[in-house]
Amino acid sequence: MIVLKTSDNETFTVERDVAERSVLIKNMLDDIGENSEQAIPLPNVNSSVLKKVLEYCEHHRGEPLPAADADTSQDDTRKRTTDISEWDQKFITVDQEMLFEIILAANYLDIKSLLDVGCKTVANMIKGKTPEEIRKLFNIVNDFTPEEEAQIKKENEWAEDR
Amino acid sequence: MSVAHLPFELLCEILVSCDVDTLYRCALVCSTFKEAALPSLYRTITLKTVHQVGEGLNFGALETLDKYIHLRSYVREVKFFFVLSDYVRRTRHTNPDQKVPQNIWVNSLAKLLHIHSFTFCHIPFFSYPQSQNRFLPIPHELIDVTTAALSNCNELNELNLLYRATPSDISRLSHLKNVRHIRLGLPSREVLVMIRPWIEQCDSFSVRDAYALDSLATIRPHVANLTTLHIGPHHALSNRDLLQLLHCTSKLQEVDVFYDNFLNVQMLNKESRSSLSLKYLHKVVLRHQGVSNKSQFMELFNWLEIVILASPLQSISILSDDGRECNFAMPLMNLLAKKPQLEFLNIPQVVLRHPSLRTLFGRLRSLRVLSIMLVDVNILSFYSSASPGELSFNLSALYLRSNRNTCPYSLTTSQLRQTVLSLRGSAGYLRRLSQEKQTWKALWTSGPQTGRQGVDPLKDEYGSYGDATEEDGW
Repeated sequence: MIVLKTSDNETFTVERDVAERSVLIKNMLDDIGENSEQAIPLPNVNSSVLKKVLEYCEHHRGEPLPAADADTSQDDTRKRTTDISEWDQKFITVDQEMLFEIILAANYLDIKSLLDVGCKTVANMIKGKTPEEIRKLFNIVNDFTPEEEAQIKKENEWAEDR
Repeated sequence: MSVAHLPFELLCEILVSCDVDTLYRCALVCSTFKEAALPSLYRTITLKTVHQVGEGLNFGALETLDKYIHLRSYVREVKFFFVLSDYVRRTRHTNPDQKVPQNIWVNSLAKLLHIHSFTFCHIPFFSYPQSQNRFLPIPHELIDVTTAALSNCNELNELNLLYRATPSDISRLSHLKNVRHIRLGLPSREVLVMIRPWIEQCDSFSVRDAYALDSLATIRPHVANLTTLHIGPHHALSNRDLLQLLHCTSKLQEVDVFYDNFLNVQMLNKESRSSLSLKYLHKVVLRHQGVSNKSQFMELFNWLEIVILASPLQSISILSDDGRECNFAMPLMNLLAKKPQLEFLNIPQVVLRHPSLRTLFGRLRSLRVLSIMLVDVNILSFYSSASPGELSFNLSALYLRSNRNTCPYSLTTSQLRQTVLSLRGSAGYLRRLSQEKQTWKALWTSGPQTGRQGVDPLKDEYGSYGDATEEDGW
């Protein structure tokens, strides 16, 4: 069993193979050795997010981890598809705040598959929306002047009609 | 916590999986989104003339890349759309007194050093049918200057010539040393002859319209190194020729061939069966034409059996190019049952009934994607006569289509729901893709909102010959 300590000083006790879905934790464990009782500090993750992340790791335990030096062409197809499995889809149905927290945590903890699910979910949210709708969705302020906007449209005109 | 707090790299990571339309719109959201979207947007650029610009070819994408030099390194794919009408107009109106800076765009193209794939094709003009774009040539001078511009591009490994290429085009283009994937639209015999030495170095070779492939000898000695081979309609290779062609390959992983019943010969010899070894072949697409009666289908299954037994196939598509349906599902199912590891099966013209569906779901337990036709809504109750545990349903996607009045979409939805519920416990999601009178197509998926608009696992199986898209002609 492994003890993880979050930014808000909560501790989680999990099985090693669950925690090792995170490449960051795996590397740490390799460094400190087998028999350490020490809690692993995760200063960038709070307890509510870690709970969620561990739920994901628990469900996917035992699945093969993507190789670190995965073929880049395969990597491309992986990125190009926006498929998310049924369980993952349910898992990631959370409010926007939590969604972005999960993405950040997955990035920090280096859990590639979870990062993927998070990114694809956001991509699906954006898909088919107008710039104004995207701004509204994420509370973004338009920092372009009308002239700049016209220029961007002109520069990227080639992409519009195909 | 919002998208604004994400590190910039993560925003880029999110946008990588977006389609071009979405990326274009993201560029207009705000400056951060713009910076994150542009590298993905410029991954694939299209070279199409911008009409309002006066003289000389002028491509919007290249102009922008000249302005934002940092974007150059992101370009991987270039699609050159030749607009004949525009070209004619321009050459006709060229005023000899006026010095027109010709082909400046070539210099800009030459600065894109990371192009992996280059496509030459036509844009339809006037009433010229889009599907016949590949019959039109592109002026030699354009091929010349483009080849020169691409000569420094060491990463270029895919070349798609979806127009009427000429032998001299091929000799010009063969200076591109690192090309390993070649697709031809409508090669002449001379072009095929010219390109043969090139095929030998390639991993994949495709011919969309294979009129020029008039004998086995034309390509047989040159296919040994291919991992992917695609031969479209109009070739003159019999079923036995096709097997002999497969014999000459040793690395083949994917094959997509046109199977013309008209050319076929009696096959049935056991020797060709035993000696064929396709150790790496995992995908077969067979497009048949003129196959209609029982003996013709048995011959086709016979052919397929030889390939199945010689290879570790995971994906099989049997497509009828002339829309003829196959009424002999049981022999096919018994044959497919010899490959229980099949993950992908696309047989949209096979008439399935209760026993064949029971065999399908009873024996092919690894299937993940299935595409079938329904002739009657009642056949979906095939599961009710099965014993417990006899059937399994591990699909993540099921494509359904029908053109019968015995199988209206409205009745199919509830029946399918019951079937899926009883086979896998939860209903999943069904959506209609198209409907016109009694003809419809639908997609069932295990998860919601899979966003398959852009990534259709059947895209290369369907779409292909029927409605060649303007984009790439495939």
